[in-house]
Amino acid sequence: MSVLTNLIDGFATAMTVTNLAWMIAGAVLGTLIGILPGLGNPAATLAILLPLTLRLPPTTGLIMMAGIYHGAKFAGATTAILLNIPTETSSVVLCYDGHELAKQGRAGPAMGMSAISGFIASTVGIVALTFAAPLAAQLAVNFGPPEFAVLMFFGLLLVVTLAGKSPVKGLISMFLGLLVSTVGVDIFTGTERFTFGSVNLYDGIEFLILTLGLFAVGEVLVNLEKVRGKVEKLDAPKRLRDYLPNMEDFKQSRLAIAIGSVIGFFIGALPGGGSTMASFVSYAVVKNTSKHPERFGTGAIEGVAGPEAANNSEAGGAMIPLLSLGLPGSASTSVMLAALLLYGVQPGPLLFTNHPEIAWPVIASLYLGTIALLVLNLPLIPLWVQILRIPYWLLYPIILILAVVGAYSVRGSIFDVYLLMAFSVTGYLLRKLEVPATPMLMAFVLGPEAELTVRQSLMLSNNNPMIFLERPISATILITTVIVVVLSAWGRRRQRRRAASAALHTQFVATAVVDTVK
Amino acid sequence: MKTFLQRQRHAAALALLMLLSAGAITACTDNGGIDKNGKPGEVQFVVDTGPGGGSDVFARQIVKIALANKLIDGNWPVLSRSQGGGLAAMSFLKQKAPQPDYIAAFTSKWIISGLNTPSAEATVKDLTLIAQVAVEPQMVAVPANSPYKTMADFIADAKAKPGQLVQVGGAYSSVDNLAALKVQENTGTKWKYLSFADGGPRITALLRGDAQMMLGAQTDFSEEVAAGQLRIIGVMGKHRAPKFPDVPTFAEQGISEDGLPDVLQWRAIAGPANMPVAAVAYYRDVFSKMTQTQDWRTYMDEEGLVSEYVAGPALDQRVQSFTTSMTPMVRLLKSANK
Repeated sequence: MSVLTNLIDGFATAMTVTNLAWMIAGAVLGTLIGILPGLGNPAATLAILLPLTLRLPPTTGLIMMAGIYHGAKFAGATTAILLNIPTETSSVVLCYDGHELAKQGRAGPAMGMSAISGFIASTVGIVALTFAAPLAAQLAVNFGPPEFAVLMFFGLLLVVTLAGKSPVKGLISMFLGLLVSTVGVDIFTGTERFTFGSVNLYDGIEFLILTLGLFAVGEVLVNLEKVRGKVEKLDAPKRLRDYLPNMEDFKQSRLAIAIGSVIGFFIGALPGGGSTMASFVSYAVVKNTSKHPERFGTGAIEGVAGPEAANNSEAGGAMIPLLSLGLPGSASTSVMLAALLLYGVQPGPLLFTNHPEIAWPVIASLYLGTIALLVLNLPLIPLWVQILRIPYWLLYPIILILAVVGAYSVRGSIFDVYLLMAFSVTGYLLRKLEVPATPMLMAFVLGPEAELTVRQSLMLSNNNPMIFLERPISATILITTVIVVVLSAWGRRRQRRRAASAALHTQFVATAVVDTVK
Repeated sequence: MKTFLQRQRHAAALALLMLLSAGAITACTDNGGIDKNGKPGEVQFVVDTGPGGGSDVFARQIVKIALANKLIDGNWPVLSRSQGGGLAAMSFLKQKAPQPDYIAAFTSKWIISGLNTPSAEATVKDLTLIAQVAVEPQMVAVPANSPYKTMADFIADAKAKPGQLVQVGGAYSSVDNLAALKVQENTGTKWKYLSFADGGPRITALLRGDAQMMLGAQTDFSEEVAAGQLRIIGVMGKHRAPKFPDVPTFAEQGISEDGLPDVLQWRAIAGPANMPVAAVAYYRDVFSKMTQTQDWRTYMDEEGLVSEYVAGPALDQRVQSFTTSMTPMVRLLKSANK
């Protein structure tokens, strides 16, 4: 139970007035910087503010970084919901339902649910960290290439099932994403793929360039076609209570938050698992366990609550590889590790024994960060929602400028700006052809990991595919996947048959009625 | 018709705006002169990794130590050009030639990247080599429960099971794989190389038993070794590692390092080609003083680096001999791939 006492000590250290003030400052700064498309992802925001935080004493600096991290994460959800621009990989799923809700004038409840489910999930995450750490640490070590490969296979299957009305168009979009994800030097063989000899493409295409092009600029281009004044403006809520989720929303989201919290924690605990996979798997599971899966994609509040819960309890899980192995679980924890190095603290499995005065307050402040966010941002939601009221002649140029600046600032490369323009055209064409862009983005994120882990596994097994069944965790995931697929196919068929028989019945009744009339 | 025209004008205006903001970014390059002491204006420190990566942290540490010891009077911002393992950073410096206000933290990896990419826009030849400040000894780690007590044990087992044992590391063309291929050639053995993009999964692959060994720098393992999760079984190069005085070198274990350069990994500073002589002298002065500070020595010890200041012809020679011995190895790598 030493974890519990250490954690309590951590809270005691973190909760000094100075530390709390810096954390709040961090959360505000993180939200403000994160709201700009392009600068938006938490890792980039942390990197931008790194020189500032390094001027503070280590504990305070790291606590401020925890605030920034949460602020940026919330901002990522905000841009996805309000503007349909996912600035970080873990908020891509929010475009399915979050932005749909915004279109229905329910942006406020969507954002409120994102903050509240995030808070609940963080609580679950921190409690789980206290009690389930040994279990999750074991899982983290045992999760190797074959296990990741089947998890990615599961993920790609989900991309197809979430594609929407036309599976063919979903598949087209997914394969486009996989194709784009292969660009760059293959680390497994050192071969250049689709780089055309340009050093700018050596490390592949940045996620942000793709998402800004496909979503932000693509959307602007499509709307430009509509005659001015006729672009349907999103409704901003009028009454104050419309800004927050109501009891009905909570009732619908209860289960989703629970599922998301648990999934997020365990996936977060895998080194390299990350919040993207967490939010994505959570969305799919919430959808598949729902009584009304057909509501998803049309503005279901659970579709926001589930992934956002996972996205936040992941932070608790991500602390486990850090705690037990000294390994960062995500890009953001990497930046925090870098800060540790600059403070002269060597992160590693001994971090928590050698520097408990730094490690535990940071974990505590990661939790306090979600509270700060809740307290600060719930009242500010009405303000953020006003973004929807900005007239298009002003909003579109702002989005374009931010997109260009954002694309440039990722790697400081003007080439990326041209790439952004190319993807903007792609986004425009996809919209015109009614091909959904989300599968492309998801496949782009999952593709490289899927490819690499399959190759790693086959290398380990000397090209014997049985490795996926021989290892217990991967076999379990694989079998679960097959069961889910079979069940959902069966369910769909039954539904269709029932619909068909209902139709038949109506037809029969109709003919009978016609007959009697005759 | 009017609406169509309007629409067109609208779209054109926005396209123009995008191009203008793109143009504004490219125009943001400044020309830094040097004063009579060769001191440049605003110095920017180019690195080949993103925030938190090896060279990024290294550059920030240098700036921190130099500032603390009053060797420089203002912060040097770190600029990331991460594509292609140094290739983007080198072509960036090439474009900046001969400006004195850009320097870069470069490693031996940059030479390998150049050798791997015949079409590279810029290579180490396009740089002004300022000084090497540290070398990074390479060592072999195995899981704590591994049957291998020495590197010789591992080699013996690799002989018994050709092509079965697994070494874990970074990209296929990285220095650790190149060095391992040479050792395999020298000892008549063969084993597999498992690539991971990030450091974390490499360590877990060892702990899980998917891989049997890893070749890396002391910082890659030191914390895990201290925690009793990993063990060091051999050190490359001429000297034992100060932190692991009981671990014998490859040569002591009878493992040939023929054909490998004396130093596999180093950390050095370079600038754009044709940098003014006065500026080079200024930087050398700063870095040679920095390597003598107590802060620097502490940092070197913590990171398992060996402080070694080399500049001028000696540095040119080191780079030259590294290139000469690596060229056939890169060829070996390409043939192993086929």
